[in-house]
Amino acid sequence: MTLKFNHIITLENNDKYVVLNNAILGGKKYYLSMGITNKKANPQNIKILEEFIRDEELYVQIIEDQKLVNTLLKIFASQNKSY
Amino acid sequence: MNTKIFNNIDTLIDMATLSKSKEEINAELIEVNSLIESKKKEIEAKKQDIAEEDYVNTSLELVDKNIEVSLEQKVAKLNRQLKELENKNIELKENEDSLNKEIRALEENSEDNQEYLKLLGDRVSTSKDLTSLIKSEEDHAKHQATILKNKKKEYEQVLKELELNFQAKEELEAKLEEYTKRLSDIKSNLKNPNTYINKEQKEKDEQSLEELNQSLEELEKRKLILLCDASIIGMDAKELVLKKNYKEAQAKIKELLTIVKAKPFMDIKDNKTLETTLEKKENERRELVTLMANKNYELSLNTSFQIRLDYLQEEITALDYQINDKETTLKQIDDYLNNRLASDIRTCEEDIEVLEDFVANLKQLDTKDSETLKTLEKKEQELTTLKTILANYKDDLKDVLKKYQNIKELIEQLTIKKDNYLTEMNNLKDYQNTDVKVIDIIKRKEDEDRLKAINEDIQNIKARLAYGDSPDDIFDLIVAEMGETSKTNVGNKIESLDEPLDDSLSLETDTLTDTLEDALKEDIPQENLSSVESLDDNNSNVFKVIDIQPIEELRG
Repeated sequence: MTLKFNHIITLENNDKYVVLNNAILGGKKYYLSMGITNKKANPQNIKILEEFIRDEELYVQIIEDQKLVNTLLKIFASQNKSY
Repeated sequence: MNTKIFNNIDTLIDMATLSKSKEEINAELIEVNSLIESKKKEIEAKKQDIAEEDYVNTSLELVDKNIEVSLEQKVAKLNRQLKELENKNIELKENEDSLNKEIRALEENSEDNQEYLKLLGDRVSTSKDLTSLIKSEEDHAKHQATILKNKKKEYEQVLKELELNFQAKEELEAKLEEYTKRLSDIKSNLKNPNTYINKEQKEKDEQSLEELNQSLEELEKRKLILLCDASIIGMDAKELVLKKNYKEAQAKIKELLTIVKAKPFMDIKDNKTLETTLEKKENERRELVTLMANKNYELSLNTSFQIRLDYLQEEITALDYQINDKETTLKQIDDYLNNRLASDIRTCEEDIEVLEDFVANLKQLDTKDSETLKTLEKKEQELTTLKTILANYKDDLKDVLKKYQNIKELIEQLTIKKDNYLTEMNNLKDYQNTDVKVIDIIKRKEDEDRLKAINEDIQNIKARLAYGDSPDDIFDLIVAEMGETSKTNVGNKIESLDEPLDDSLSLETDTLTDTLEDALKEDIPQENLSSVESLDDNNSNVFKVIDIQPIEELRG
């Protein structure tokens, strides 16, 4: 199991996110995600999630390190530019 | 009974945390007394010096006296010169008057002569005898004219001399005025006794006297403190107890109690409150130690550098990602070109070749057979279609190659950008490495002082807790013993305060850094210091994913 583009994930705290984009940096998978409130995507709630597996279970960690967030946002932005 | 009272008095003395014995205090008292005496002598000597010293700068006075004499001589000389000039002027003036008169007389005479010579001239035509007379008169007139000319020259000379003398007189008078003024100043200075007083020396001596008085005052204060020392008061109280003078003994013990209660935390009766305060202080210390360990106290003189470095690092990482991404796309295009498009085009070209041969062969037959002609027509149509397909393939190939080229150029541009960022980053790092680290000593000292103060508080609280009973309780016990109203034993074992309560708490500023490091090792879990990126079970940002579904299902 892995996070997929245009899929909605539900976390153990019942928060829901729609996966908008993904990138691999330093061997780690990061996903640009938007929170879902009342079945509607909330553009005010954008998070970058790092995916990892532990005991065959899928986990995500919300990235808060600002430097890493900046780097990943630049990567996601570059992916949206068409060549 | 006295033993119990004495023990309790000793406890109060201990509480005053004075480690000095009576002998030590006496020794210090002797030293302070001798210092006081020596200071007093110094002050007396200084006062005498000040009184005897007239602070007159004799050399300055002597110089002024010399100047006075010299100026007096100059003024006298100028006056003489002026007198001579005036006399000379009078003489010249007289000379000028006399010359003026002579010139006027000569001029009048000359006019008369001219008129006389004119009359004589008119007569010459009528009388020849007058010719010699005219000649003689003309010679005389010429002679007179020469005399007049000389006199005028002499007169001009006198006028010039007079003018020069006036100028010289004015100069001499100006000089005389200046010298007279200076002479008058000097004379007034010499008459004024304060003019030659050495103010600087006087102020210096007065300041030195003031400093001596201040240090004497300090010593007197120290003496007073020593005389009021807790151990001395305690000894006095014990003596009074021995003499059974309980009333005065109680007063002395009360005095001792006041000293004890002035010490930090000694006035708190409730041990529970003390324990809570101790816990709070220990927490505060732990937090401060952690804070100090995490602070590098470097003055952020190059914050902008660091921000730029972080930015460059982010950009470089993002560029690396983009370059890798584009290179992957290039590889994909390359594979597509080699394995798919090129192969399809080759197949199409081969088919066209075969079909062209076939059509050519049919045409060579030059037959009128309708079936053959039909076949030829069909194959020619097929050939045309195949050529269109090939053309379409080639158009696609062109597009893909163009795309390939564009991506290649983009990679080059991104690489150049990345190289520029790398160069800038290396330059900044080089600069940072050569930059001398500036430590905010003031801030560090503030924290160190705060930590020291907390440590002292902790030591004081522990010291107070070590006694069990509060100073007030002990005082009550002493009073009770003295009045034989109670037989209560203090009964609490008092720990000696001579030794440090906790070696680790006796922080000196010099060893603060080492202690900080040790404290950090103990107090801060290592994982808390690790990077934010590392995953941790207790991390509140980590969540298990319990469901994943396509976005369409949500819409549905």
